Amino acid sequence: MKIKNYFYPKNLKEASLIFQENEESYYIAGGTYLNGLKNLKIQNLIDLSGLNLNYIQLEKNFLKIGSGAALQELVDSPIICQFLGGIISISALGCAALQLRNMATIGGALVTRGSWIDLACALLVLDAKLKIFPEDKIISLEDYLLDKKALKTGEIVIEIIIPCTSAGANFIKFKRTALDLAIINLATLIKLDNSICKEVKIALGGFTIPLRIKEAENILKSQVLSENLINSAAEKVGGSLKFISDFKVSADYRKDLAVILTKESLLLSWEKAKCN
Amino acid sequence: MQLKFILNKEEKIWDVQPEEKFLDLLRKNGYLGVKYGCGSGNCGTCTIILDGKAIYSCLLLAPQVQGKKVITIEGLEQEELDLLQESFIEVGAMQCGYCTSGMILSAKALLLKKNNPALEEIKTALTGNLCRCTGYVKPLKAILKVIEKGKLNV
Repeated sequence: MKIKNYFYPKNLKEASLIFQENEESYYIAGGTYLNGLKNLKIQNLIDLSGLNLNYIQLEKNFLKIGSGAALQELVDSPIICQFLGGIISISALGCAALQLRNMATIGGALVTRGSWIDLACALLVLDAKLKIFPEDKIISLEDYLLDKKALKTGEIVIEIIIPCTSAGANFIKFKRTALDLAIINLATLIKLDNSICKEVKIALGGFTIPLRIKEAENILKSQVLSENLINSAAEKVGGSLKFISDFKVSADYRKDLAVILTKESLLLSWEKAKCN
Repeated sequence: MQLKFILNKEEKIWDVQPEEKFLDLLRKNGYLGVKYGCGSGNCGTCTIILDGKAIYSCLLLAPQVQGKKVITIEGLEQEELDLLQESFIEVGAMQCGYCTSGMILSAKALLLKKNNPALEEIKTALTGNLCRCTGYVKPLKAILKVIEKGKLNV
């Protein structure tokens, strides 16, 4: 890697202008992802860390997180620790070691679509949306993760918007040691209306790009919840995905884990939802 | 390009290549307390304190440090050794010593933020520093000792 220029833009407009004027330009936030990209032809780097994008604000209906907020800021922020039982803080805490959490930003982590980002699972069940510069275009995280062309060349994710809701949300990461990458991670969310399940979301990741399992969600939606019903939703999660084998575990083991953990997580979400 | 930043309370202006890793730059300039371990942000031997936060200098490009404040293990020692350094020596909290400077800086970053952390918090702060000799028992003891001393002073 041989870099010609390193820019420190003062605002987003300037950053975008530099991007257009220079070939082979890349934006850099925390910069940790660069380490693995030995073959990229990077000539110009545009540093976004000086643009004051590291805010965390709770507004009336939305939680807004600047894309430059470091993962550790999500762990430390009292606002986020109290948001839906702290599901975002918990998932950010497991992503990496403290030193890496101090460097990596939420925007960078999501934009690079790493399957190791446990955070994405939690954000999927929270219905997170990305605000993009210029034009303040808004796309859902789910669409972004599925569509590799969702972000056009030169566009910058500037904010993560999460709607406020009262629901039971839960996040589980299955790993071998404190800093291990997830064998499986998953998040669930249940919103009750009296005893009817008004809203349910299941997201799974760790070995794949994090995704929602809608077939399983449909089993629970608008139903009166019971343990049996949750069991069959969990079985559906096992049946609706292609699980992979790697040096850690076999595909069958991973599938069994997904079923058991989905059940556990749904039951916990259900308990939490009842308390709301 | 020119890099202007504060290293251990001294202002530095260094000529750097934009693609240079900050770890390499420090070592090239004689700051050998910061170690190259894995080079991929896993082991923690390259830990430094950047604007009050512990980070991996092996993943950091030199230009990212522009205008910021850096503390390395060399900067902890003023006229005498830092309390953490003294305590690590007293307790004998090292064997091969390769992880030690990183571990002390992780502990320092924690103590800068919070002067009376619980044991669990210390453990969490050290998760990014691998040590294959001590089993972490003595480093934890050394850090707890410093916190105890801090309480006595107050």
